[in-house]
Amino acid sequence: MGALLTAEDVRHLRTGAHFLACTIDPTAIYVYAEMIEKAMENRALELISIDELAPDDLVVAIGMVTQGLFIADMPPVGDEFIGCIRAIEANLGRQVRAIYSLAAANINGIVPLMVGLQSSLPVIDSDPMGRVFPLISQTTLNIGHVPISPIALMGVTGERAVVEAHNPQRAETLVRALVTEMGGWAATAMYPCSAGQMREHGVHGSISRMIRIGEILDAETSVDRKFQQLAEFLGATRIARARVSHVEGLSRPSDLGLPALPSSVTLVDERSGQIIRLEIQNEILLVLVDGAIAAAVPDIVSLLNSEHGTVVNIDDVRVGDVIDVLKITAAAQWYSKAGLDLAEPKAFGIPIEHPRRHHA
Amino acid sequence: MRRSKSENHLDVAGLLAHGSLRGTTPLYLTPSSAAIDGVVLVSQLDAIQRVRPNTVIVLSAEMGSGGWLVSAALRHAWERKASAVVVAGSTYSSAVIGLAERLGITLLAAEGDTSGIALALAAEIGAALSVVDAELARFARAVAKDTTLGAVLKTISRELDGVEILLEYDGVSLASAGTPTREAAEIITVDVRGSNSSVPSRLTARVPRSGVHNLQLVRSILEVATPSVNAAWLLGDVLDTARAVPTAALVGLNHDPGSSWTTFVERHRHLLFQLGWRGEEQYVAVWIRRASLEAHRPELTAVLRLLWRKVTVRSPLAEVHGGWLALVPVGYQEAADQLEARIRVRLGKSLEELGLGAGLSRWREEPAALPNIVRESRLAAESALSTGPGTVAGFANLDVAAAATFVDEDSVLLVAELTLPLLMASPDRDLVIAAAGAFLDHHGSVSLAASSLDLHRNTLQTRLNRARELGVPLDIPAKLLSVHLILSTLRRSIHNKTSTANPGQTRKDSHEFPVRKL
Repeated sequence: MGALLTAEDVRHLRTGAHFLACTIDPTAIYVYAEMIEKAMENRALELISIDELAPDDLVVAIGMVTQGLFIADMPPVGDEFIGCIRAIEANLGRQVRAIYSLAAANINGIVPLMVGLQSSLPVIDSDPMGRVFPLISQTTLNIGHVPISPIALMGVTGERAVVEAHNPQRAETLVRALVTEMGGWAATAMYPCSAGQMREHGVHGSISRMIRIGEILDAETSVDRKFQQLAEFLGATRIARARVSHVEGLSRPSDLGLPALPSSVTLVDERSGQIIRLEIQNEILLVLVDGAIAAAVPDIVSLLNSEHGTVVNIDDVRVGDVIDVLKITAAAQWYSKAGLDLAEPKAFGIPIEHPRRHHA
Repeated sequence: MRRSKSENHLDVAGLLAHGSLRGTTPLYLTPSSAAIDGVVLVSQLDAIQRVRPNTVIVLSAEMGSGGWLVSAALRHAWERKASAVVVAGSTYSSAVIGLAERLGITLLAAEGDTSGIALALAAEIGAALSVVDAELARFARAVAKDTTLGAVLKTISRELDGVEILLEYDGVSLASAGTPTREAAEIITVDVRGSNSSVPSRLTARVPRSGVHNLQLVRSILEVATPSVNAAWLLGDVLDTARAVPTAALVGLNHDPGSSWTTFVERHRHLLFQLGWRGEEQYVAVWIRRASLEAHRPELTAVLRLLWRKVTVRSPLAEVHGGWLALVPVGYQEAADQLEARIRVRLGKSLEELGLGAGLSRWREEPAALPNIVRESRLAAESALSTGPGTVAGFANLDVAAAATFVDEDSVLLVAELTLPLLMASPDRDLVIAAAGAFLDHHGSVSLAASSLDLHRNTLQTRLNRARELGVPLDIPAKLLSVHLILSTLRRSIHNKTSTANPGQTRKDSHEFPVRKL
């Protein structure tokens, strides 16, 4: 029997999902959290462990795929994800038993809760990223050779599509093209697989982790206490506490296929004199301290306001702000050779190998 | 190489002022101008991690000009001690320039294609190197004409404005040229004769840090000179081997120790004449001996011959069974004393580091039988080694104690096992032997013996009584000589076994008698 989530859990989940992504625009997370809280007044939301399912049970990933359009600018009608689940069931001729998040951060960390409430399907406390990546092919299920398709999509205007492509990179290209045509975002259901496959290849405890992070960050405690708790819970390390000295936004185009918003932030640690540089494409991909790599994707890098211990949106970073730059190690699968092939800086067009590449 | 050291030395400031870097815009210049030995055009960041120091790193246009990339390139360049980083002209944030300043790396921006800068710089470096190569070729021709090791070292030193050049073997200086510097120096070293020996010899230049020498060039000069060093050393060794044949042959001639030089000459007249020995000349024999035959290193003969030149160049050193021998013509006693002093001063430390000892025969007014003086020097060397490596002993100075050096230790130990079984089996054997030995050393004086061992008289007395209990005949005058000899041998044996350990000793203010666990 899984755990029933409370409204407070959802509020903490919102903070946790925000922290792990340092998202550019957290509005959609807040909108969804609010909707979930309202819906929970009449219904219970069940979070289950993957171990509670039979190995053959069909489970499916739920997530938004965006291509330029902010979800908050054109909110979904509400039936999109249910439509996608039905399309998967129709395609496979089997019933979906439970759903899971496509990512463990940002909007896709919270959307499945709403879908769970709508569909009465339990939500699994697992995901295939353990963080958020911009590409749907960047999953631990892909590392484990679990097929990505069929992929069901439903766009801004209610248009639907089902993509069947065995190669995850090819599926990515097709889905990106469809999403652009559909208007900028699409609700999707993908990676339909057995609970056994998910148990073997997924990252587990994702949602409860986000809730715990939210508990830490939402608490009325000092910044240092929050950091200490994050360090204990996540093994987080503080790369620097530094003042923003320069912001370069949208200064150069990204490669095709990468839904990126490239920008750079330079900070100066006024105590040590170190110069810190953040390279950003949707998420923070690279941190250089005096030109040396201090963190690189798939490491998770997050920013906290040094005064309040609140999450800093990448878009809100201003020259003069003093920010804590934190590094959190991603799920172990990402540091394998196959994992780094999919998600190290080179996969984002940055010609740098992850420092752990030689140990993979 | 005076011209090449100064005029062909390329640096960032010079090339910015009137060289291939003239067209670049300095974003940051280090206070002191870095030397330039090479240039690389990199299209991948990783390539910077392999560049040599003093290299100008030019980032190719296809690498892009992202600020992070310049940051990472600066970092790698700093780690590799690069001279400068050249990037495509763009608008760089003050943070990138700040990082260059922080890391102390010159950052230059080039208008247009950076590869043009790299090519022009490569041509300039190539031109400078070709001058250096010509100078090296001239030096190689000059040093190849030298036939002795001393001349080769002098030529190298002269080429480097008189810096000190050393030929060393296992930390021992074999030969040198030039003026030793008292100030801080860079040590540039290359191996010589590395393939013939387990311990390579090294050719070393001690270059003053305040000088203007390009260290890479100094290394190149040493490398170019290495074949000449090897050849001159080998030639000297071969000539010495040939010259040492009469000395080596002498050791093989039979001679009755009791018979005279005249008898010996009559018996071997023809051979001695052929070998060049003259009966009317006086010689002092010098024997250099190693601690054990097992420790023989084949290259030691060549090494010792170089060292021997510090003593005399006229009398060659021959490798003989059990060591090395030289017969030095010496006309009077003072010259013999000077020879011994010279060996002690000039070779003593080297002999110590090589684990060797040296012995000299007596000087006599009348010409002595050469085999006799050879034997004297061998015995003196053996006695010297028993004192310790590096010792130089003259046969004339040996006293009767030297006789103990030649006692067959194994035989004496066997006799001790047979005649003193209780003592040999006793767990406190070592303490009793030390006490009884000291007692006899001091003619039966308990006070003097206790003082020499830093013990209380009563403690020593207790141990002497213990010796008597164990059957050591300390009170029978007729046996005292033999007992003293056995105890001395046993003490030497114990000392050899426990030279690294500190055997348990009681202080003179203690009455305890510790039992040593064996």
